[in-house]
Amino acid sequence: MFAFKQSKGKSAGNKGSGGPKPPPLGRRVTSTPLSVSLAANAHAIRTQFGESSDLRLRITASPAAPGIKLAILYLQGIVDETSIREDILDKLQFAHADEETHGRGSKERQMQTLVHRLRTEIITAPLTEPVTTLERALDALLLGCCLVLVDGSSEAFATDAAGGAVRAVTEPTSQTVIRGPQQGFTESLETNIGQIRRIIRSEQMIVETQRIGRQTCTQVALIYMKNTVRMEFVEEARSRLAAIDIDGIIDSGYIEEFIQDKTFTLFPTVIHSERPDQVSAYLLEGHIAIISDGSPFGLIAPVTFFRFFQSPEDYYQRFDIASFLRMLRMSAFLLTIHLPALYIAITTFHQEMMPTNLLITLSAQREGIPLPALAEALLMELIFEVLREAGVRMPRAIGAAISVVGALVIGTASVQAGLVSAAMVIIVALTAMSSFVAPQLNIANSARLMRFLFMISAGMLGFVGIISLDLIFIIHLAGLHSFGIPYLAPMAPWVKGSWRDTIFRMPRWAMPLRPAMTHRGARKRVAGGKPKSQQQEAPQSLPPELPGQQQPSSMQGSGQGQQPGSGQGQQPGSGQSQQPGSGQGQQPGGGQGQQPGSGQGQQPGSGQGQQTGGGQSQQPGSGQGQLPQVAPVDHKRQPNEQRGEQQ
Amino acid sequence: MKRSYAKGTMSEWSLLRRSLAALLLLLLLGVAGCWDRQELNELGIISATGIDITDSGRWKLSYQLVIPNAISSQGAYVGSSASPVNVFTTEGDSFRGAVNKATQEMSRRLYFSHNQIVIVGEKAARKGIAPLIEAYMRNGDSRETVAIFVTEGTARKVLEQLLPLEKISGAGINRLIGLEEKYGGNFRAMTMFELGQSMLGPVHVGGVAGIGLRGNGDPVDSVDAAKATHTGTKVRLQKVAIFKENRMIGWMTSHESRGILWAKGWVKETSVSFACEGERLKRNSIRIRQKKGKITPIKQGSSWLMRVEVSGEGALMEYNCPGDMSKPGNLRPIAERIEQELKDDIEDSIRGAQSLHADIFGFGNLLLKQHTREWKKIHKNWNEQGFPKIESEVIVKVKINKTGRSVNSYNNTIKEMHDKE
Repeated sequence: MFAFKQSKGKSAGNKGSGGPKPPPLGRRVTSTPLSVSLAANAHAIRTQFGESSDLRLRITASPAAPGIKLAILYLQGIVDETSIREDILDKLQFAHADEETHGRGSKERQMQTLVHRLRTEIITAPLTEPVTTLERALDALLLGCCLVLVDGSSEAFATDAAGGAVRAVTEPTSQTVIRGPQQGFTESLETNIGQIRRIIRSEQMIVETQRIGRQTCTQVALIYMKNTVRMEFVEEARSRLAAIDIDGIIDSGYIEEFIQDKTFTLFPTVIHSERPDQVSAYLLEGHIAIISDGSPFGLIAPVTFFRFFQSPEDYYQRFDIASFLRMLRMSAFLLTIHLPALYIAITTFHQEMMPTNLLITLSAQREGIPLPALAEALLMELIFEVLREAGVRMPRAIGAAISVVGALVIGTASVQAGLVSAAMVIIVALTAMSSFVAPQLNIANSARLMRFLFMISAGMLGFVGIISLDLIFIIHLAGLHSFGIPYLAPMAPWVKGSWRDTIFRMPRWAMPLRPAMTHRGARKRVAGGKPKSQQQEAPQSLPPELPGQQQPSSMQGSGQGQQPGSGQGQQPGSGQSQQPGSGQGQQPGGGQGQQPGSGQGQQPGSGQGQQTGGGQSQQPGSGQGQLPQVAPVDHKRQPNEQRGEQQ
Repeated sequence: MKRSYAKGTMSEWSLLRRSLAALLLLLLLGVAGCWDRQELNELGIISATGIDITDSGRWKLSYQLVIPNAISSQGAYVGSSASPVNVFTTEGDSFRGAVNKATQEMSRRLYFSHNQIVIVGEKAARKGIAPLIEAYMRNGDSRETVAIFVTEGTARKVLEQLLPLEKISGAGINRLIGLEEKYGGNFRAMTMFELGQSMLGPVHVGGVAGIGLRGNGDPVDSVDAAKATHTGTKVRLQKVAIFKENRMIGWMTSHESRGILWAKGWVKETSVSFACEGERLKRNSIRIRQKKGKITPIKQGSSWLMRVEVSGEGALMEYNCPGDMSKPGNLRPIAERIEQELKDDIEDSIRGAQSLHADIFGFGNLLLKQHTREWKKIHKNWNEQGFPKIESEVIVKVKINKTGRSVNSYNNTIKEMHDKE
């Protein structure tokens, strides 16, 4: 750990006193050119891998290169062998020699042409790259490429064949929501980036990938929105990532520990999220995300304290319940760190603070309890933590047994045994429940530790202890930063207007600006003002000037071609749906496709097909044809709603 | 931007040093220790205190000690074998000296913060209660907001009495006076602090609700005695003890007490019984809410007139007199009879106070505030000479808001029907 620390915060070129270090895999410095002999090259590579059994070598030949030996090398398990067979082997087998170039020029020249032709014409892998050095060849193999060596040429080439078993996209297990997207990140970086890209379809979203880890050479992606992020964050993130020099990155937790602003604090300064929707929402607000290959948890920075009480679901639910739940979560956080401490302080120092009846009830419960309240509380909280840890670590099959035993230990049995008072059980239960309310696991974890500090402090000094510790924590929080952003922002320092999305969650149209701390340039994200639909008495889904739409007969899809008024293609005004950038991509432009008469349905290039139209174009004549015309320029109204109304 | 991040190399030593420092800081907390910690099961919670005095002038303090186990076991005191409270007495020349002696016979530290009431025996009250107030004002653990009562006999007897429905009789008595203040309108809870304050005020007079045991049976001082469906004796609020300059000087009746409360505007809600025209029995009653209670001093030559203005409104609860009540105008004579009833109460209480030579109405306080110069001339011997000579004028206004759900008297209608036949 100490060794890791040393490299932290230093630029890559300025290594500490660690003696000569082996160069990291991704940044090999030496370069050994490949030999012209295939056997020598293959031997060199196999030697480098120490005859590892997963390195596969296949000698083959191709009609395209008559009389020349070819070799295919790959690491089994990280490549997709089917695609190697289809894209490389098959193609090599069935290729023809190029009569025109055959036998022309010098031998070297011939070989060059051959290799080039193999790489660019014959092999159909999506990505190929010439390889001239041994080191590059090793890198390529390790990244899941298939290496093709050609006898007689010192130039080989690598083709992308990355694959192997990956977990399918499933629901996030640690951050569940009831309403909202239900897919979570997986261990595959490509999948994860794809999930985000699928949400933010904008070229403004930049993905910078680099490799970190001397041995693991893990791909780490830094993602941000070019038009909303403050470039300082990006530069800071780049430099912090560049400074990481470590054997391996197994999980994004490794990276978090290196890039967080302060290690010796109980509070996380980086959010980790399993949810692509959450990461995307943060990106849109000008944060940066860091995703590491092999970890289903993306990191989000910079984040402030209050962010940890916001669940993605806050934005999917109605604003009133979301605001209520936010306040509930914050209260629960305060409760979970203070409740046992308050119990200890009141029962051992400030008995006068209780109503008499409560005092007598508690007093009766404590009759015969052998432990002082502090020890009792510590014992119970520790037992609970043990139970909780057991619940996480134990094999699934033992779960039921543990919960039965756990319920006995933290339950009436321990009260009946006279070890703890019944009130203490309630306190522990309440504390535990409150700690699970936090939507971000890491703030719940810091609450777990804080709770013990508060308990000890309360046991020593009573209320004075609790208040002092509160003050200490507030001072500490006020001094924390996340990527330069004060941790208590936007409360301290106060940022005008941002209360709307801190403790409360105002309606979207009432939060037209992106958060001030993390944004540069145009801050507007929502067209301001109350949406029109709410200002009018009753929302009118269908403009009356378009005839035919309300006629039930048009629902059968029979008359669309005959109704010129409803024909999408004929209406120039509907052209907006062809503009992908206008945000109307989802506008049911796909509806055009269903109108055989208009002739557009067959054009896959119309752009809408991928977006919403995908579902629609399979049902020609299902009555959606009349929809598109509805789309007067109303951004706020979901086209899907309208479809629902009509059908 | 780069703050705290680019701190540079943190050597192994510095890490170790930091951890050690943190550890030492934690140990420091241990130095503070838990020295004044007291666990709940080390406390003897006192719910009521009784003050008596021995013939030799020593204080006799009785404590009603709560036994939590007896209370917390499900159900009221009935059915539980153990008594919910334990009463014991210590003696001493000083209050806290007497309290301190409790350590000789009690296994727990006496804890006064939840003391609900203090009952002073009449003998002790007549001797003077200034030392009691002094002890209460000075100590943090005994609250000066505790309600104080005076009893005719010894205070200990009241503490020993169990109340039906209440597990802790001290808390029960406190609830009793609260209820009386809110709905009864005859007595008012007096806290130790208020009493001390009123005796330091210009007129040096205060009134404290009296409490006593009524009934001729055996005292309910054991759980067994409480097992019957009726209790031989019960705790009851009765009379008001008037204190003047630290000593109790006499009693006023509850009828007079009610007058005091009306005049001072302390009644919240009460019911008033009144008679029909020409009858003596007060067969009718009204639930009335006080709206105003104001005393104004008015100069009349060399003496003073005390004008008491009282108003209230309410709904009839019981009416047995003849008369048509459907006309609002007919309600006025009824209201007048109620007004007369209240006026009698107030006038009786003024007379009672005057005969006791105690300005319980705080008339002198008003003089001090409103006619400071004149007050300075007459404030000496005010209670003895000035106050008894005060004239008074009582103006009562009562409004009958509702006649209840019925209009005319049922009783009277029956009678009329009978007469007709």
